[in-house]
Amino acid sequence: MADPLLSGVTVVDLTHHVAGPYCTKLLALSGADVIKIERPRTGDPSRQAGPFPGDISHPEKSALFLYLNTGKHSVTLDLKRDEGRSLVERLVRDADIVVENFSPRVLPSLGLSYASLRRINPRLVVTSISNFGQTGPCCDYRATNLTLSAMSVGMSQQGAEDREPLKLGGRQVEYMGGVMALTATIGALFRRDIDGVGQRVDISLFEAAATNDEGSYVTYGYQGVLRTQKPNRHAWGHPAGIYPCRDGHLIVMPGYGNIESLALLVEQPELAEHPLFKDRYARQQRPQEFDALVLPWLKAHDKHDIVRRAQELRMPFSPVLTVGELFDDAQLASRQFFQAIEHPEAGDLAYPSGPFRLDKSFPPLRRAPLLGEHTEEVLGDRLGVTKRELARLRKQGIV
Amino acid sequence: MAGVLAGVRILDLTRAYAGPIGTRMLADMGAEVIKVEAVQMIDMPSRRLAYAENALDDEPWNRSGVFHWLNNNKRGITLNLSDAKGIELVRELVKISDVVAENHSPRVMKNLDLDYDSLRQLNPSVILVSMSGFGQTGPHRDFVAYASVMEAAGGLTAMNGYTGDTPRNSGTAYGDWVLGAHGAASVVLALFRRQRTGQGAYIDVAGREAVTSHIGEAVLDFSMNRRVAKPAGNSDGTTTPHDCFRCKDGWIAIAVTNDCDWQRLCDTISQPANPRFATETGRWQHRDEVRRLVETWTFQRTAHDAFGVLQRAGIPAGPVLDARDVMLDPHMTERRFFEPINHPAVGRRLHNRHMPARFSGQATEPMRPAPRVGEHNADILHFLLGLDARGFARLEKERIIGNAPDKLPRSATELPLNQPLWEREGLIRLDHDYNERLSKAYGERLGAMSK
Repeated sequence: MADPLLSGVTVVDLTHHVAGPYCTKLLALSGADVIKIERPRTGDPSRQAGPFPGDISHPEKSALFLYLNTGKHSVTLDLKRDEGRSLVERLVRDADIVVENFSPRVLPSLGLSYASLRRINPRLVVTSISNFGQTGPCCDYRATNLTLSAMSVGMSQQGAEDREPLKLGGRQVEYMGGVMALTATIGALFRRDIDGVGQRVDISLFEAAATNDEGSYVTYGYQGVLRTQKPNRHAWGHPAGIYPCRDGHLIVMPGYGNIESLALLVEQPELAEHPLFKDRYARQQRPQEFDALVLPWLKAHDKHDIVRRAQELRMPFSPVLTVGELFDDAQLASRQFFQAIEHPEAGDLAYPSGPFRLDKSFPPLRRAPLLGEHTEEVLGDRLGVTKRELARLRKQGIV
Repeated sequence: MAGVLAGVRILDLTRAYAGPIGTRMLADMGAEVIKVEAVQMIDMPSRRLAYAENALDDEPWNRSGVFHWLNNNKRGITLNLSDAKGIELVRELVKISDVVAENHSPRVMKNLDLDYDSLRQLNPSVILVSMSGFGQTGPHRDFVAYASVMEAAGGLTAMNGYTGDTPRNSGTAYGDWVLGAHGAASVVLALFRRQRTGQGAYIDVAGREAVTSHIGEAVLDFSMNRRVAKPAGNSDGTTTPHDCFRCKDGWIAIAVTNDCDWQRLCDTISQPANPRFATETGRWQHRDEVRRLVETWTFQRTAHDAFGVLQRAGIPAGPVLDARDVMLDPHMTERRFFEPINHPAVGRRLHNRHMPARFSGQATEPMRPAPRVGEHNADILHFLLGLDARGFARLEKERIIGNAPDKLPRSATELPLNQPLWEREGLIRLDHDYNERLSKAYGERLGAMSK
C-alpha cells in the first residue's frame, strides 16, 4: 500500500474564498495536515456563500465551503490581535508550508510578512496567491472571478457576436489559480528537500488565467491574427460546436479529415459526396446550409445513443451533461468518481473524489470542518495552550 | 538550468494540446523534458498552426507559433515507435528518466509494452502520468476527446451561456488546460513523495473528471437540492451590477459585490442615491434599470479610462482584453509575463510562461526555443545514451530518427491559405502592423525584423 503523497507535511492555511482553498484542498487530498485558520465567529466568507440546502443560509452547510475545505482542520484565530498572531507564528515554526491569498498589503500590516515568517522558519515555503501578483502597477487593484476573466483573453473569444462577452460558468479563474499554486508550492517543497532552504512563491490569478489562451498570443505575434466571438463557428473547421438533439445537446465534431464518418452516423452515406461534405471551405462559408443536412437526424435521436455511435466511428462527440446527469454516467460510476461523505450538520452528500487518481484509486475524502472544530486540539495538543488560557482567549475574542 | 525541478528528467510522449501543456509547465519549472515525435508522425495539429507571417516557405513545421507556444523549454527527438529499434531506445530512455508522460488512448501504451507494469521493470521507481479525456479504466476509456468534449462531459458546458439560453463552448480549449494543469500538479506531488520514499507512481488523470473538480459546488448543490446549474450569463447569484458593459471602444466588466461598492459606484458615476437600489434585492429586482444607468456612463468612456476611474474608486472592474491587449498591457509588461525567445527559424518572438509563478529562491532563466524536428537527436541518443556514430547513421538511414517529416498532411499546406476566407467570414481580424506594435512596446526588434 503506497504512502500518501504528502505524508508528514504540515500546512498553515491562511486562505479564504476559492483560489487559496482549492490549493489547500488538493494539499489535504494528497495527505498533508492542513490547519485552516479562520476568523472567530464568522470564519471563511465562503461559509456565507452557499448554495444551501433548501436555500436557508447556515455557516456549516454552504456547498462552496463544504466542497473546497474537505480534509482540513479548522482553528479560529484573530490575526489582527497580537496573541492571535503569535499563536500563528508558533504554528508556522513547525510547519512546512504557509498558503495565503490576502491582497499584498495585508500580511505585512499584520506583522506576518514573508521576511518575518522566514525568520521564524527558514525552511518554510510561503505561497501567496493574489489577483495581480505581489508587484506591478495593478497589484493593489480589486478583482473578482468576473473581472479577471474579462482581462485574461478568454472572454474576448466567448459569447455571441452581437452581445456582451461571456464568462465561463462557475469560478474558473479562481480554480485555475488554485491548481497552479499547488504545482508551484510542491515544486518549491521538492527543492527544499534537496537544498534545505524555503522560499516564497508569488502566484497571480490574472497570470494563471492568462496562460489559458489557446495560442492566441502566438497567432497574434506570428501572424497578426485576432480571434472574434462567433457562436458555434471556429476558424479551424466546421462543424465543431454544440448541436441540439432529441433530449438535449451534444458536441458535434467529426475531427479533422473524418467528415465521411459523419455521413455514416446520420445514416446517409451518400452525403459524403455532397459538395458541402467534400469541400471544407464551402462548409465554413455556408455553415447553416451544412447544419440543415444533419440536424434532422440529430433531433430524432438521443444524446447517449448518438455519442455511442459517433465514438464507435472515432469521432470526438460528447453529450453536454448537466451536473445532475453526471450521476447517471456509466463511466463515472465505473470509476467510483463520486464519494458520499457524512457531515454532522449538512448531512450525507455526494462529492467529486478528485482531479487525479494514483495507483488505481482515489484517496478517501474527509469532510470539511466545523468552524473552530480543531482549535482546542491544535492549540492544546500541539502548542501546549492550557484549557484556562484557551477560555480566556475565547472570552477576549482572540480565538 | 535553475528552477525548482532542476535535475528532473521527463520523457514526454504526449501530443496535441493537453499533454504538452502539462509537460510545458514542468519544463518551465526547470525539468529537462525530452519530447518524442516521429518523422512518420510529427506532433499535429500544433506543427501546422500559425506559421510565422502565415508563409509556407522552408520547413514550415519548424515555424509554427502554436507548436512553439506549447513546446518552448523542451528538447526534441524523433523515434519511430512502430519499429522495434525505436521502442528499444524509448526503453533505454525510460531507464534514465524520472517521469514518463503520455496522453494516448489506453490501448496504445499497452500495445507498445510501455504500460506501467512494463515501465516498472525497466525503472522500479518511475512515475507514469497518463492524461486522457475519460480515464484509463471504464466503458468509455477509449472515447476520443478534444477540449470541448472534456468540458461537456465534465458538466461545465451545461453551465456556460447567457441566462435562459443554450449552452456554449469555451473560447480557449479550456478542457485541455485543466487536464494538463492537473497532470503537472500530480507529477510534482509524485516527485516529492518519491524523493522521500523512493516510491514511483502511476497517475491517471481524466480531463472530464478534472473539469468536474472545478465545479464542485454545483455538484453539491445538486446533491443537496436536486438543483441543476443552468447558464447564468455573467451573473453571480443576485449581486448587481455584475456583468460586462459597453464602452466607447469595447467592454468593461464590473462586479459590485456589496452595498458599499454600490454606493462608491454611484458616487463615481455621479448618480444620486436611489433608495430602490440601495440593497442587493432592490438592485436585482430593478436590474435592467441598474444596467442602463451604469452603461450610460461606461458608454462615454474607453474601457481603459473606465478601468482607471473605477479602480481608483476601489470598485472591482476589468476591461475585456484580447490577445493584443494583454501583450501590450503595462502591468503584464512590468511583470514580464511575456519574454522574447530567439528561435533560429522565426527570429525573436514573445512568449509567455505556462508556469508564471515567481519563486524567490530561483533565478528567472530565459526561456529556450521549442525544438525543431529531431533537433536533439544527437544530444540525447549519442551523448546521453551512448549510441555510436555508426549506429546513429543506421537509424537515420532506416528513418527511425530524422529531422524532417516523411510527408505532410494536406492541411499543413492548405490551411494557411484560408486566412482571407476567415477574415471575410468575420472569424478573425487581421492586424498588419503586429510586428511593429510589439517591437515598439517591448523596445526591441521582434519577428521577421530580428532575423
